[in-house]
Amino acid sequence: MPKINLNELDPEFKHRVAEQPGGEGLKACFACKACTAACPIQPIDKRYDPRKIIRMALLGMKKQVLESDFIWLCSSCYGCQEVCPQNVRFTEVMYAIKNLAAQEACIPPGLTAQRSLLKKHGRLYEVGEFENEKRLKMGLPPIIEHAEDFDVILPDQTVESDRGHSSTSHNS
Amino acid sequence: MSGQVTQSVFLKGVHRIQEEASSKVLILGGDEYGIRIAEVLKNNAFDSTVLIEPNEKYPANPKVEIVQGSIRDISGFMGNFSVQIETLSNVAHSRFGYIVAAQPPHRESKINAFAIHDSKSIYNLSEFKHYLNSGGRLPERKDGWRHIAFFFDLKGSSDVSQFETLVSILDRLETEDRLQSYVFTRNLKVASLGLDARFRYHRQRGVVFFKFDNDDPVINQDENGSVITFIEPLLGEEMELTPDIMVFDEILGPSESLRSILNLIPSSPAFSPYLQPESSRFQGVETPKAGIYAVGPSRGVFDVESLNADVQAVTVYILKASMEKPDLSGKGVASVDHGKCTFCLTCLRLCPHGAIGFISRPEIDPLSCRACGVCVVECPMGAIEIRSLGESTLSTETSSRPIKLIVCAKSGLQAVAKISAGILADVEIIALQCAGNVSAISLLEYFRDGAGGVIVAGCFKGNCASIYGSTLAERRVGYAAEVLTQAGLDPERLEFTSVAGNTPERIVEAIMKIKHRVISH
Repeated sequence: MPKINLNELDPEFKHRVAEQPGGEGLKACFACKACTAACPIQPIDKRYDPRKIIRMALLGMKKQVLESDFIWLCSSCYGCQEVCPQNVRFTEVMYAIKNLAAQEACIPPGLTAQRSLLKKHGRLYEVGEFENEKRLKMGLPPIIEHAEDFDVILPDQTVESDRGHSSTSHNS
Repeated sequence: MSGQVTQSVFLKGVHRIQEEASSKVLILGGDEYGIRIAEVLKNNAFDSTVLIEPNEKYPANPKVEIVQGSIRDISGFMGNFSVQIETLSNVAHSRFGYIVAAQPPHRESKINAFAIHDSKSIYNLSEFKHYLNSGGRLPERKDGWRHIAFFFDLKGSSDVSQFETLVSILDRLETEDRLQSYVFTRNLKVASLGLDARFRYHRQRGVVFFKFDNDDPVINQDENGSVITFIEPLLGEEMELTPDIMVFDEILGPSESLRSILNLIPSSPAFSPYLQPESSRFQGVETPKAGIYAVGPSRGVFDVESLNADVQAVTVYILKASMEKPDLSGKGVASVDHGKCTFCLTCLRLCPHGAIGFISRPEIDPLSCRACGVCVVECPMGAIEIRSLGESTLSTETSSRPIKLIVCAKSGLQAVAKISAGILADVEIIALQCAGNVSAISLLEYFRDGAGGVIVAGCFKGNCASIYGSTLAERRVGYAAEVLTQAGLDPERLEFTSVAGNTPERIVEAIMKIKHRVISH
């Protein structure tokens, strides 16, 4: 593994995370590992280690954090947040980190696909004639897609959907 | 002993001074604090001399006698210290009743320990603070960030005062733009008023701390500068840093004058370069030796409030000590049987309180002796005894009980008071001034006389008022257990346990263990 050069990292990164709503607690971490112990994801995927993610953020490993796919593995169970003695509020920190990743266009392809579905259909699943016929038989009113609202809140952008990602499929 | 004044015997003196005790105070260093102590003492009718190091600057003060020089030789006891002071012009001999040290330890560079050569961008901690305070600037960089690497508590342990210096440097660097500070450390030392909060403030501000358990960082130097290589302790990944500046903390050592004071106390290697052990047994400005007091920097305390408290406290301690009269009956303190003594000087080298002097024969200063009994047990001739002990502790009513519990009066006895009578029904309690008075032979004698089990309850390590009294006791228990094994007895019937006044359960546990052992065999 190549050495990580601290001179090439971004000392500003920890402050940027801490500036995000929810990211304020980041720098209070004293690395006790309670969060990692409480995390249900960590035993399944070792790459997702709350304590290490905090450490990487504190050291300014911006690229390695934002372009990683493991930051999207958080299940938002708030287990880490409950046990943290330093009130880091790590689940919120993860939202802050993911927001920054989105700003840098580092979004896994699964999420990008969901976004375009939302923009196009106003929902995560397309509702077509097949579904509406079924609903009619069951006495339910048809669903009419109103994508225009989402079109407003999700403006057009060039999404480099697979920047930094190769294999993620994300379903949450 | 009657009629003989043993209050003043000198280790190195050729004659025995039998004068009245002196009430003059020698104050070592301490800048303005040393001079303030002299002023407060003067208001309480104590004359004093402030000794300032030859190269030290000091504020002029007409009310206080200030001498610039260093201690060349010192001996004696409270009320009668004989001191040779070497000044620039001569060597003067004076007598003092009390000594107050307010000098901070000296600092020596650690840079050599890292096997690197000194260069422009490498500083010692105190040097760097001075550099910044005298208007020194940091190197500018047009492109990007500047990096400073601090090394703290690596290659030899460092202390609170040094961490305070480090934090005050971080305070000063706060206004610098585009500067990242890294601290490579083993253990941070934050145990001083407000220091913990200041440390957390800087961590919050963005200073990065690397805490190593082992695998210290390695520094490589070439013509382009220095590169620090290390395994990041939390991520386990190899990292490198090319810092613009490296700052190293320093090794602490006592000043020359403080060293001669420390030499008066045989237990001092346990707490040097400071004059006071880091232990709750030493209140305020007390040191293990009577008549010697440690103020502020000389006991590792640097915050302003504690310094002010110490200045007031030392006067109270000296006032109290000046009212103490030696009990010349020799009761309650150790005394030497000069018929048995073979001048091996074991007692002199071992007395944790520096209470033993030598003028043609060992003499014990009754005001300095704390009756810990370390000398009593270690004397190879059995020539030392503490007279009042032994008589009071043995009562015929309890001496037939099968379990002997030997406790230190400072910790174990208070713990025993919290144990219910039922548990103690079979236990004879023997209280000593210090577990250091327990000998292996006395332990074996209990078994010879039919004891079912013996428990020695000393203090926790670092909590012993006689520094190593408890440690010696534990060692002797181990030795006695070996003898028991060789004699075919169960060594588990002899137990050493560390206790404090608030841990009676440890004694109960030991009693239960012995009871179980004795009954089941």
